[in-house]
Amino acid sequence: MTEQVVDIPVKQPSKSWTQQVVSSLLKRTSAKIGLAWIGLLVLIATFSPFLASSHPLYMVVDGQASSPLLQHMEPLDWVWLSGFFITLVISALSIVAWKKILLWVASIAVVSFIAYSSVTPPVLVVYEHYREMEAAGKVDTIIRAPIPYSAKDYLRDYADTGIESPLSVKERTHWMGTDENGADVASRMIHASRIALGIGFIATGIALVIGTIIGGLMGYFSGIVDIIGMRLVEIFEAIPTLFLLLSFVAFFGRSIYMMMVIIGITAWSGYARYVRAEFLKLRQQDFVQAAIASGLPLRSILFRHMLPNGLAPLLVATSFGVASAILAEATLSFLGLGLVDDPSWGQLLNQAVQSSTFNWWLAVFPGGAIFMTVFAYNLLGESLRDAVDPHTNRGMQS
Amino acid sequence: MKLLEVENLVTELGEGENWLRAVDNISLAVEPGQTYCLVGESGSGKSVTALSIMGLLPHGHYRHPDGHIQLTDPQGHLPEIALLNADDETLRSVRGSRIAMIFQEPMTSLNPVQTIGEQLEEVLLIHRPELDEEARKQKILAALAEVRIPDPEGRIREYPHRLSGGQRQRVMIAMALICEPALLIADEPTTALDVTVQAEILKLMRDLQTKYGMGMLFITHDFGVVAQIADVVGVMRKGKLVESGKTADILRNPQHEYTQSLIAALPERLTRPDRPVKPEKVLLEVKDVSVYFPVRRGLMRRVVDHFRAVENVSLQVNAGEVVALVGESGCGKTTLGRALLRLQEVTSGSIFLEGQDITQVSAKAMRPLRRRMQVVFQDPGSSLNPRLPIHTTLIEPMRVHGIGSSDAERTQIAARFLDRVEMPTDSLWRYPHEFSGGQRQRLAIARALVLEPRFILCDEITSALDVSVQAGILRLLRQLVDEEGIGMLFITHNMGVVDYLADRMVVMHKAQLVESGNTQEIMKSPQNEHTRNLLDAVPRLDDNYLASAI
Amino acid sequence: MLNYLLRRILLMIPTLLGITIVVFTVMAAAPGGISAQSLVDGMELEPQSRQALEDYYNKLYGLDQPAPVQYVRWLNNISPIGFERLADGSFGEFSLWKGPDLGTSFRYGRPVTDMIAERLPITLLLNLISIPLIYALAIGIGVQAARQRGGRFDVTSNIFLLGLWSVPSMLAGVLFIGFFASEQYWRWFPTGGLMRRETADQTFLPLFSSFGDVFITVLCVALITVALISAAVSFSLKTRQFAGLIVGGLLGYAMAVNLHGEWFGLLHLLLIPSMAMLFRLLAGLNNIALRIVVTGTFAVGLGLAISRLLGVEILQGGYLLDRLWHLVLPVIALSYGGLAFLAKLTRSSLLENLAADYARTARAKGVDEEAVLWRHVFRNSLLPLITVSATLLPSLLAGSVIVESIFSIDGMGKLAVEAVQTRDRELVLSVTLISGLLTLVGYLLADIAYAIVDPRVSYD
Repeated sequence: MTEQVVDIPVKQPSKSWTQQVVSSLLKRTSAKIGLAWIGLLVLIATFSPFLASSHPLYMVVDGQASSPLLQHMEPLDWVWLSGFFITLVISALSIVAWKKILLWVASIAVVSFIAYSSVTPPVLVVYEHYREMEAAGKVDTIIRAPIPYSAKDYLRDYADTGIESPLSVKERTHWMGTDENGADVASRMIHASRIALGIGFIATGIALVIGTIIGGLMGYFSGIVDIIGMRLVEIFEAIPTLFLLLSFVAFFGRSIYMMMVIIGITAWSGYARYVRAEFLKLRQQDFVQAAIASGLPLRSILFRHMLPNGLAPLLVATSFGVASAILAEATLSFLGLGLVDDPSWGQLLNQAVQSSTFNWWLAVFPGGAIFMTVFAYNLLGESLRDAVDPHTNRGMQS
Repeated sequence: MKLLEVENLVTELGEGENWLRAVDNISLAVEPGQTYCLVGESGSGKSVTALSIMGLLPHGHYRHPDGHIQLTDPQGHLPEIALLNADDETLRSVRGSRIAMIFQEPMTSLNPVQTIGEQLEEVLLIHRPELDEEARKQKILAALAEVRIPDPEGRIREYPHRLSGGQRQRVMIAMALICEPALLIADEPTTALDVTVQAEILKLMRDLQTKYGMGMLFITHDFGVVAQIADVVGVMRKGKLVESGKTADILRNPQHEYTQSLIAALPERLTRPDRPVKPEKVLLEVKDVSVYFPVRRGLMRRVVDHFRAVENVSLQVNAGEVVALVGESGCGKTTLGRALLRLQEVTSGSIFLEGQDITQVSAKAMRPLRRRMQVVFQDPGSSLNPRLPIHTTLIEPMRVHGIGSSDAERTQIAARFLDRVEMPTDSLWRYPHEFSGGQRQRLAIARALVLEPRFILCDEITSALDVSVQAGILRLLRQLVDEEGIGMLFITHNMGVVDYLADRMVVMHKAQLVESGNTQEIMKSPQNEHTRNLLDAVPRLDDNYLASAI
Repeated sequence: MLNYLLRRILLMIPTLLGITIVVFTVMAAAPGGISAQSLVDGMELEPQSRQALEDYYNKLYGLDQPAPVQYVRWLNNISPIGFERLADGSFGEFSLWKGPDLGTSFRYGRPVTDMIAERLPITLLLNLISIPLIYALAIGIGVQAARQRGGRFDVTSNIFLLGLWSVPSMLAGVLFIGFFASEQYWRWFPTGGLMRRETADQTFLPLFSSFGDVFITVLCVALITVALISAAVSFSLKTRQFAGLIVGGLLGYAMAVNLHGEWFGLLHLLLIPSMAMLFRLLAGLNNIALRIVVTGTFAVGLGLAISRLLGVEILQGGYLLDRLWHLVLPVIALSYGGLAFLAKLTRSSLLENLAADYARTARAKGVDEEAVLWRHVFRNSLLPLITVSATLLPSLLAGSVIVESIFSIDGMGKLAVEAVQTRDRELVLSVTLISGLLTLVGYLLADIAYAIVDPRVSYD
């Protein structure tokens, strides 16, 4: 072999599989609709304190300017806002995928730490305060959020307000009516989007991680690992999920983190099956055999050769999985086993049939939101399935 | 008089805005009792031609801007039909009774949930409604007996998955011939079968054709098959018919340069360079290796028996030589190959790599040893990781084994090897899907080479490639072996390849080694009956054969 | 095959055990756990009575013992073979004929077995009606979509089915009850439960006031049904669509008038066009079978309504009709999701098989497209449907929970929710066990069905 240096041409960009899938996806109308709605939801969830709040954004009283909205922002609000911008920035960077994820997790952790240790909004909040001041004429200028009610602004505490249909009362504009405590439905829906999105992503994330690890181990090692793993999968599959959820929630009490973890734990078996099936297929593939024959270390074979190739069905399943996680949370809330005070779409839906009359706005709007979100993820899942499946795009063969 | 006449056929495939011209102005004719062989490489349009005649292209995705196909009845009883734009009812009356077609994949061409008898009976129900049940049954039994399926009575109630590939193809032939069609179209019917089975099926088809006076349109890519059964040959390339004529003429004196290049690319006709003298250095020694797989039955999945995949095989590969491992599918050659690479556990026996016993070495200790033995596999579609650019695929093994001190240096080394396998250096940044099958095999060879192994196992690496592409790779391999002194074990079933490439050959049959020795000696006078069968199954079109046998 | 069955049944046992362990662990690990304390909390008792009650419960159920021991006790109780349990809670001798004892519900004080025996049949009724309905309709829709691949029906039905699948069942249930079963809107269906109290004593079939009334009803229904069905079958597309438009518009008007009276309001403007479009769509369906089903159902309803107008008096609705009437909404709410999913699956499975090699061989033999579909492709396409049916039963059981809660039907689902809300240990464990058992049996049945349909599969 001669020692001359070969002239290597400059890197020419050619599409990796991820880029191919993304561009194929974006060509489909249904994917665009799904992504549009999800994008809208993300925006609403991130900027919810600015969209619906009883605290005015900017207020001048007796010459003193203040922003009650900013003063009353919770640490979680700041984390959401920063998280949004961090995600945008990181996804624009061009570094390896797993490094991006690591960077993202680290930044969120740092931001959370800062937010929770430094931001302390006032504990006692009286929403009526602003309306009283305005009525008394003490306010010079005031700029409010588009929907001037907070999610927990229970008008029933201040006046005899109960469930009202949309735009039925002249003094106050409730675009979507109010619920049984007099809280504005639109505001509660906007703030509930956080819970829906959060639970969707985190619960599915937990299920994905557990499922991938167990499924991967089962698929790669077979033998006794496979047998035990399959029994575990069968157990969790056969457990009526809803019953398990109900049991967990009823016995462990209601906290949003608990719900996320629980929904995640009940969902992992599906992902494990997919990963296992893919790994079993991949183990026989020539390039994996060649990698083993080249003496590559196990971790490289698993993570660089097998896992990226097994992602296709996982991606599709994840999209559907997020939809079912959101549905699970809504169902729990609907059955009265969800969070007590925090707004949730399911809980609003529950109120539709609680009283003796049928309050259609409590069914149509929150129900519609749940439907649109689930539909969007399902559309995305279907489009992913078409984008990823090599068979549907095959041309003619001679 | 002509049975089938195709004039200026043009077929376009696609939908909406995109149309691809798959068949461009083809004319051919088949006479009764005659076999017309349509030859070409993949993508040449031969299958589309056959499907166009039958009208079996996917509905809505094809069109015929031009062309005329005429079907005539040699006896003059049945009406003449213009097939190309005939209505559905006419086509259906023709299919199965006047023209029959058999396909390539016997595994999937039969309905898995219907019995053989039901599928055969269906043809009769459609085209011979006047027969009653007993008459039908007799016809079915007669058809099965004719294609030489043993015990037809028992077979009628069986499902397709219980039959072997060869038997399934026989059933397909029976189904096609049961109504005694005037024309049989066969689309690569033997490509998916073992060579010995292929020889039997071809003989059967020839006999039946003589008996019934059928015309046959036979599609293939294999010139050996052409030599065996064709009366007239048509060579297709990219949708066009480049040459046609009598078999003997085409094979001995091809006029068109494409035909000439195809025939010249046959492995048995490739020019052989002089082989350098090699020192007798034993690279790989295999002693009495057996590989058994346990068979589990019963409630508790107990091991009741062992499936003997490889039984007591001994062989030797020296540096600088190619040993061919030949045998039919299921004989154990692939299992043996994997066992040699320690990708499969060995039940008994020993394997020595450069004197070192590697049979029971642990996975961890195997790792540094793996550098010395590499593998290239058969399927170009799965030989490279689709998610990684070629650069990473080549660099990673080097990094793991400590070759080169930096990635930049490793990239240089990789570029050099790409050069060696005659691939452009900018392939480094591309993904596997951007390359053709032959190119991917070259890249797979490059991956095997970057570790500078002493021994390479090639498992049927050219079986899935076109003959012209295969020629290039075989030449490359021979070069590598001669120049680098690598020892190679080449698994194949193609005797022409063995002839060109291998110094020595080893024949396996049903898990056992039945013959081994110098290639030329064995080919001239095989000792073992199985070897003889393999050698006789497909003719090698060397000069002797062309001069005498056609 | 027998070996395989035995193996599967044997393997079910560890899985069931696993399920119960998981649920037991959840209960035990929860704050408050499964001690007697949670039972007596909330009752206003003096400390002594409280202590006495706790002691009583502890003795009876063994609640003061550590969790694993309690679990083993419970296992012993439910197994048909084991130690007999005496009335005061201690254990007697070992017996082979003990029979399973699921315990007594804390909350209701009744034996669990009785409660389940009451409620299980209701849930099973709902589910077993839904399953054949789902399959029949799904196959019909799927076949139609596959036949006209890429056609309008196919593309629109695909999105429509996906949307239908996405509607959460609680929303559907709430909307059904809210609009079709309440006093504010149309009262076509009852608000809940499975039957009215009175009908328990009524005859099975409806009782009319006179023979003449029966005659009129039957005549009306028959005439209208025959007329409409023959119209649906024979009229051309345009005529049907036009007729559908008119009928829908009239129906929409009637519905709006029912609510708001004669004059035109927002509701009228909404209802009339939407109902008109809906009926136009239904009348324009290409598939004859689907058309007949839809028209027939509509005609029967119309016939009944008209005979009502003609003065027919029904003395007693009768048990059968009442039951059916109550079942309509819950069954629809329970099955539409499964229907959508299965229809899509049928379609894709059919398409895949229509393009398969053996279908091509059949065409090469001269078989026409319809026969290719029904004789060759259909049975092969059923295979994934059967595999999926294994998961259908569990999802229906889960769906029952929601539907039963919304429609106030006293079935297993509602029982489960109540059990969980009241932390009733025996009930929760038993309900989980039964559901798990049903699910596993469902899986087993699906596997057996698959082996029957696919001759390639043999279980040795």
